[in-house]
Amino acid sequence: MKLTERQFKYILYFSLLGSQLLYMPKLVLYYLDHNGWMAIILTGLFAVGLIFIVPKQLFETNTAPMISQVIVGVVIALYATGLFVFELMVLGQFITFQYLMGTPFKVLIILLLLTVFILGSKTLEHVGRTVEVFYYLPTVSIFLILIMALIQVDTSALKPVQFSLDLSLLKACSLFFSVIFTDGLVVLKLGQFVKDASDVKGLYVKTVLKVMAFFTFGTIISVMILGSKLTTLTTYPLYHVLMNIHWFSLLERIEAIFSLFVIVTSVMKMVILLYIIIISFNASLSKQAMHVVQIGLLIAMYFLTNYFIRSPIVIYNWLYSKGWYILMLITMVLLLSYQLLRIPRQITKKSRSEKRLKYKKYKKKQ
Amino acid sequence: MKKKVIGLLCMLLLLSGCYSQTELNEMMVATAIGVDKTETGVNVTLQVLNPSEVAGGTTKTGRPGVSCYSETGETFFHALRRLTRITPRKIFLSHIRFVAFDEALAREGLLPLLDFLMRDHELRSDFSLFIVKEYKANDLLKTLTPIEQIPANKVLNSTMATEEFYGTAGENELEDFYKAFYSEGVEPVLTGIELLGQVDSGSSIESIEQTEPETIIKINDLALFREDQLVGWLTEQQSIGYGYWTNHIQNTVSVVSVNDALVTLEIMKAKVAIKPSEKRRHFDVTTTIQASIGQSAWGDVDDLAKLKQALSDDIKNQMSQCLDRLREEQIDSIGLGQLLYQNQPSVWEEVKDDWDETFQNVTASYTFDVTISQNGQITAERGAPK
Repeated sequence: MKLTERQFKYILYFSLLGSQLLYMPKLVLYYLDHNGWMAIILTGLFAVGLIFIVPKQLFETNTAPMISQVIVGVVIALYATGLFVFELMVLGQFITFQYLMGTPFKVLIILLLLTVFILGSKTLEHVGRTVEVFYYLPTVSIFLILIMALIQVDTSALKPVQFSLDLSLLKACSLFFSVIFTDGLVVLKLGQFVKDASDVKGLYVKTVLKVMAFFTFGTIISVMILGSKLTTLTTYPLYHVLMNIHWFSLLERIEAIFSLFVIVTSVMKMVILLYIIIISFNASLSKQAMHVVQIGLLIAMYFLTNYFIRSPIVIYNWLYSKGWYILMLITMVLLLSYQLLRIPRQITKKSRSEKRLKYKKYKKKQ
Repeated sequence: MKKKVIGLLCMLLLLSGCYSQTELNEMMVATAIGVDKTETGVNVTLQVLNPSEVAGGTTKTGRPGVSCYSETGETFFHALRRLTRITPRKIFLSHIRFVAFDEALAREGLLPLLDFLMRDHELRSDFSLFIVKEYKANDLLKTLTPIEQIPANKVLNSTMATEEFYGTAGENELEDFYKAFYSEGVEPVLTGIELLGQVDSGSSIESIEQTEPETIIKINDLALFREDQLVGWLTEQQSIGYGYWTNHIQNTVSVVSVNDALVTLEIMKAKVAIKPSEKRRHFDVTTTIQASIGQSAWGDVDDLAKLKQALSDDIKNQMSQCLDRLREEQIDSIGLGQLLYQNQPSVWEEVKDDWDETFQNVTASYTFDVTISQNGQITAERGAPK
């Protein structure tokens, strides 16, 4: 399995977008009012900076002993499972609320999981090619929104620009980083399949900066059209924003394009996460065994999603009250576990020097 | 083969596109909703289309283009659901053009009612909100209109025309109300609707068979809100003044007197820049006006300076009338507090808690830059009347 640089970049891009565009402005505006966009820039820059503490062993030749690899694998698999369940929950709720009102949630979840299985049963190259094909959907959508929104924006809604280093900023940044940018750190694991793994960090930085720009823009548009309070009130603020954007009588109902893009990116993200869970243990599986594992995982996802399902109001309230620091702690665990991949190199060096000493002593004796 | 079977099975699941479909002939398209206060809750009136009457073709029977259904309930949503007992088909709300409330409900507070409109997934939020002055929203929805077969369209078209050519009203959509409600230093306003003539006979088809309908729907002036509660009304002049303050004037007219002759000026363009002064509670207002002469008793070009001065005085009068009224009610509907918050946040922090009282003492100084760019098709000087 090999990915081109471009395919890896697009996989990262889709993972960072996912269904987050549906609700993303809420996370920062809740704490920082109309100045929430600043937290997105700060968080994006922080996410870029973090790449320098991620060991390259994560996506290059792994020299770590088995125990470190297993620990990292378990952490990544658990994290990816959590992200998968959250993604499935958000997308399922969005579709049943906006489009398939009469469809039972469980039926929709099964349909989505089936779709993920069909796409996931192909090789990673296929996934890479698929995201390459769909890459222009979000980009064109966002570009379209930008042009249309510029006609009816009110820049005064962004005033006064105030920045203060306080707990609200920390909460907003923590929540946004945990919910949005950590996905990129998990997807870095797929860097091992990039033809030239030395480019992974550069690709990550470029993608994070691009996604940061999109999210900042989305938040600013939301503030200018809905206002910060209404953005935090609505369940899917960007969807709501798009319902209000129209370009004379030529282009209307662009929220439909947006929904299509969200569904595609979100499903692709779930496929990518499924791959990450499977490859996180570096086990080489036959095609049949892989399918069995995938089916087992997707059944587990079904039960987990049904167990954790809560209405958005409960999820957001949890995120705002406790979620921001719990998720931050979990993210720190992920980053710390990555550091385990550095230790073995030092042990190997040490053991090599010990071996050399023993060999010298042995020679002297002789 | 196995893959094809799985693929086909999945297609069967995914291509069940008409799973929860509702055919057009099974639904009833609502064009407007009216909500009135009752002793036990609310009375909801739906104005729905009669498709055979409004569609083109030869199937028309001479019946009105719309029908109305009313039902009471403890809440807005409750009443709407109770309506299904009397409506012949499933109600489809996605195409409503406006929601009107009676004064009594508006005085109690609109937010509990608007919550349903905001929360419901079937409703788009691009409909307007109106307050019916003195009468019930039910009366408004039942009133038939000539020319426009769908009265809801008449209301919307009149509002848009008033907004575009006179400036006393505006299309206030659901989100505009919410935005103003939640924003610091500004209060919402809504356009009012008045019913003139014999309101009881407005619902009969005979009313619109005459050259002058028995009931006329008039787009009225603006309704003032404190948070979500109606507190009063602006007059016509004050409503135009409000339009200037909030930069909503696209086109309007001013009638001024110069040398004892009335001149009607068309305001082609108006831009108001408001700047909080360094003096506390004072605002510098600079108004740039581009006007043309629409009607004049006599066209003495030497008096252009006087004409400009008279126009400035008239607009200043409208703006100050509006400000005085708002100060009297202690409601900052023109958003001076918001302006202060955006430009001088530290000052706003000091005054925001008692802004309503502070607003009472707000003063403004007006500067005008008037250009009279057009004089119509008459240029010859006729001189003063004999």
